[in-house]
Amino acid sequence: MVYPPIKIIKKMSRLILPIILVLFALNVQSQNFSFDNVNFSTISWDDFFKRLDSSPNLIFFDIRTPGERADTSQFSSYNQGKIKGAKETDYSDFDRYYPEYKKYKSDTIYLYCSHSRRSRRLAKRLSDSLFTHVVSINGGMSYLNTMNTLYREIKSKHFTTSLSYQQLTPYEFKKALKSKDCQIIDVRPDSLYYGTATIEWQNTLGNIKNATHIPFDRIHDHYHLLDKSKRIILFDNFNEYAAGVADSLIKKGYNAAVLLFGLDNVTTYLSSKERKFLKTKYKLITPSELLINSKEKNNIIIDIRTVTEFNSNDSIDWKNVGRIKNAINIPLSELTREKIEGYKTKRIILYDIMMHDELYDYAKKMMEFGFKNFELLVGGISQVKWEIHNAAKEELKVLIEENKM
Amino acid sequence: MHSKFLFLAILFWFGLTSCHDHGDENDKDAPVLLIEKPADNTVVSGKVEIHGKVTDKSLHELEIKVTKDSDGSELFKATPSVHDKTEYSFDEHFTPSGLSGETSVTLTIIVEDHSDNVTNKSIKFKVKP
Repeated sequence: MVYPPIKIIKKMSRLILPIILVLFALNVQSQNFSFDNVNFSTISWDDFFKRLDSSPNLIFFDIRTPGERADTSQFSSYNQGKIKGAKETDYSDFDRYYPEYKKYKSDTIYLYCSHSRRSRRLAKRLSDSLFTHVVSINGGMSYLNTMNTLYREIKSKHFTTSLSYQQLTPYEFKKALKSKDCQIIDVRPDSLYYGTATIEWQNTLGNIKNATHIPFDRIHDHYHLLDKSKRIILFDNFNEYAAGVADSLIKKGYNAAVLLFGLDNVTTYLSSKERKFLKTKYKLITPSELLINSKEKNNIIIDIRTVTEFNSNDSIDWKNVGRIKNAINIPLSELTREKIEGYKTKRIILYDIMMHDELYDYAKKMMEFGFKNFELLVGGISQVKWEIHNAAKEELKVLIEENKM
Repeated sequence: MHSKFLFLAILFWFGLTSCHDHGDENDKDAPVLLIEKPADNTVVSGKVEIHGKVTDKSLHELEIKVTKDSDGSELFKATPSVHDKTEYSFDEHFTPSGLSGETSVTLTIIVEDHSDNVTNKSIKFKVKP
């Protein structure tokens, strides 16, 4: 005899269960990039420029603040030039600019900002308002500028900036280090240069052997150390100080350039082999390097977050971002010499959501336990996801295990 | 009949849970800002240290500013790059110059996330040259 509930389930299974599975899938993929190519489309800069070249009347919006567009924002890292021909609005003033967007409701409109965070949000908002086709440009101006080497030719046609100095990508910076025509100046304050800052992450980006250290606030006393016949390349950790120094040097007749987004960008975009010139406090590994090494049997990947974060059931929603496949979870609070001793012969990779303070506390503890052979995943799991969705690194998807229900 | 009811119930449930959107649009939480140093109403001699931490789903801008209470003039300002970070520990310091004696100042920290949520905190203290 077949019981009625079982009959129902059997009937349902053919039609309803597949629908449920689809709904289930939609329900769980609700993180940062989950609306990409569902509610709105995304596009690479490369493809965008191709479309712009073939359709000069393409409708695209620069949704950054007026200060960012004019390269006068007080947040110097947001001053990154702009693309000629963009319609100019401001993400933060939606009500004011909605009529402007609305004019193109039935057209395809493209949006860009500094990091494609705001453009994604606006794209979602407009597509929810029944705009026909909204496209967010992946990575925004920061990615376009970081990938300058790839886009140089096409960029020179469409890009313009009011900045007096050039911003060098990590690749260009590496070249400059070898050039006799460049003088490399580290403008970080003493505490960051000597690695004595009270906050550990500020001490971790290391030093460059051939750079001259002149702190940003003492540059005016050290002009005699600068060679006017050379190009002065300035750098710091995150381009917080270098931009201001470059501006003042240019006013004094120097040829100055800065490392775009500082040493942080070097560790993000250059593999450890490519950045041997930079001695970081802890070994760092990029997502692409992790992928290459992920099949090595001697690896052990340790997720240092709390158990709830590791299992994606934390009460703070944004902390539930999945995890790296095959990682084991040893939270900082549970880290003891005994617990980790068995992994001494392994190559250890530590990660968290986005290189929070706890990761560095963990690294310090590992050093105290006598471990030297460990690496930190640059940018944590967030960087892996960012690269999948912004840098077209689809191959990294295999590293991620998404949220469990 | 039963199957239809069950199907609708399941759809309803998924509708409800899907409304709990973890996406960026529904981020109503303002950044959490903790200022460890300086403490309210203290007197700081020489170097002023400003320590603290901010956390959020997606940070956008951070401004740290110290102004004189008497005329609002700026003694120190920093705008560290926090874009898209989920946590940022700050450790700024400066030594005030041009002060004739004990001076009342205000530390103001403004942090904004990508959903236009803003947290603004002030600490009043005194600096001595």
